[in-house]
Amino acid sequence: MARVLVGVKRVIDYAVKIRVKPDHSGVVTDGVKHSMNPFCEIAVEEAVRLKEKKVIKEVVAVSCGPQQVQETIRTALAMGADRGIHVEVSGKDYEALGPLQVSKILAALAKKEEAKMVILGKQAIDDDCNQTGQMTAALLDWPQGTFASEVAVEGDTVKVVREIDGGLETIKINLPAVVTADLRLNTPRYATLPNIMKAKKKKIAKVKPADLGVDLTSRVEVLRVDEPPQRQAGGSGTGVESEECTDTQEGLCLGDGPNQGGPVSHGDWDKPEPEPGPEPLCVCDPAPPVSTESEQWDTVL
Amino acid sequence: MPISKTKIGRFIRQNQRRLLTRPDLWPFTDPYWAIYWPGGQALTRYVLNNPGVARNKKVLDLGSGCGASAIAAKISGAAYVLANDIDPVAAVATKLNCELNNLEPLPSLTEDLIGSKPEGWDLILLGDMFYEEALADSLHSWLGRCIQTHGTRVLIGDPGRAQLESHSIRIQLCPLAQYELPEAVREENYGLTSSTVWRYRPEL
Repeated sequence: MARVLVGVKRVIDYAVKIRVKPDHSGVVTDGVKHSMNPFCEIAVEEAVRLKEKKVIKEVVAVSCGPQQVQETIRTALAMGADRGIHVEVSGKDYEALGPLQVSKILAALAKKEEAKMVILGKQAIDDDCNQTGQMTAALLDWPQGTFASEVAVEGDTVKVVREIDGGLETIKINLPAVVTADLRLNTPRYATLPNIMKAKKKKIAKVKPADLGVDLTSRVEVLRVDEPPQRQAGGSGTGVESEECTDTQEGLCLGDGPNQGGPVSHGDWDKPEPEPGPEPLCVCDPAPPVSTESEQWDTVL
Repeated sequence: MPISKTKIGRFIRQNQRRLLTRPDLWPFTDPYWAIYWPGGQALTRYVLNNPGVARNKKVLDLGSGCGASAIAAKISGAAYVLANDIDPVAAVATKLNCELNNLEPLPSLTEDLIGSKPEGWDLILLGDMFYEEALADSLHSWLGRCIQTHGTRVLIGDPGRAQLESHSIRIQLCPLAQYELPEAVREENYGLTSSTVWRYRPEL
């Protein structure tokens, strides 16, 4: 039976202001709103659409982590996935869980479930790694179509339109394959009440990494996590001279957001990368502070 | 008639407690009977389109939920219809739906009949019952016995759930009708697009 495995990651919600722990060992997660990684939502949506086109018969949503990841799996089920697999990882193992460990788990599950395709988000908005899809394909020795903005299954092959620098690349790869979802692949549907209700009847199986023969040892040591540098406040002009802004320090420079380059950047997953201009755009007046991404989202939601 | 302020105030206060009640304090199980499941919809349509399958028959609707298939069987002229669902609230919903369809309330039973000694049913209707592997296994063997002992006709309505599609019962199923789900039904059942009525024929 044609089956698609979809990875769904529970991350800090994109609208939450990230705070770094005082000891710089990581970010504060306790009592913080979490939700499904937006790119994973796109992956789930694509899998459900393939099911609706009757290209595949079953969508299996997988998440690795503590008990709470079941909420993320439930969201996937409410979006139309058929069943879930909760890979139980907690405590120290969960803290050290990185793309390599998750790839090993996904590769083992893809074999066990005899998946025709593994669809993942291209990256997660918490660690911004962009590695899991690629490593899963490598471990399985399957072809990969990363940064997909279009997916079309044609018999035993899949055509993937990839978002590359300065354009699009269309490739045709054999199934089974790993596909990672880019931003423009689709617009994920909302989990509506009737679907949430029905999702409760869908089953979530629990497995342990050891059952899959996966060793979770991490080879990466996080040395330090820092907040991005504080943004400078805009200065106020008083006379004619200052209207001609010469000092970028005094003005408010757009395109220099607070999160850029930071270790826990939200990333601009909801809009295309801004065009890097030759010079920073200068606003000379004491302009109201440009609302941050999270504030904008607050008003939208 | 204008309602006095005090009456409105009392009304709101009385209902506030219920409004503030947390969902986990809800004393009943989840209201699955409130859903007109897509498998049950196909089954109901099939029975209404083919009243001959139920006419003058002794019919059991297993996992009857809101009672739609049971009501369809009664409308089609069944001699006796039993609506069976382990949720007692489902029985009440079935009663209300009978009233809406100008029918006498159908007899209902909240005992779990799966695994019990097969009675002489002419027809057993199952809408959306194959959503779990263990349940599918027990249904498989029990329905087999019903057919063996009484020659019961077994009709299954299902929107293509993997639990049925990948189950060993699948090769013993004969498709009778397939219906495309209307847009509104698809909206409430993400991932599902059509629903099929199967006849279970263990001799196959």
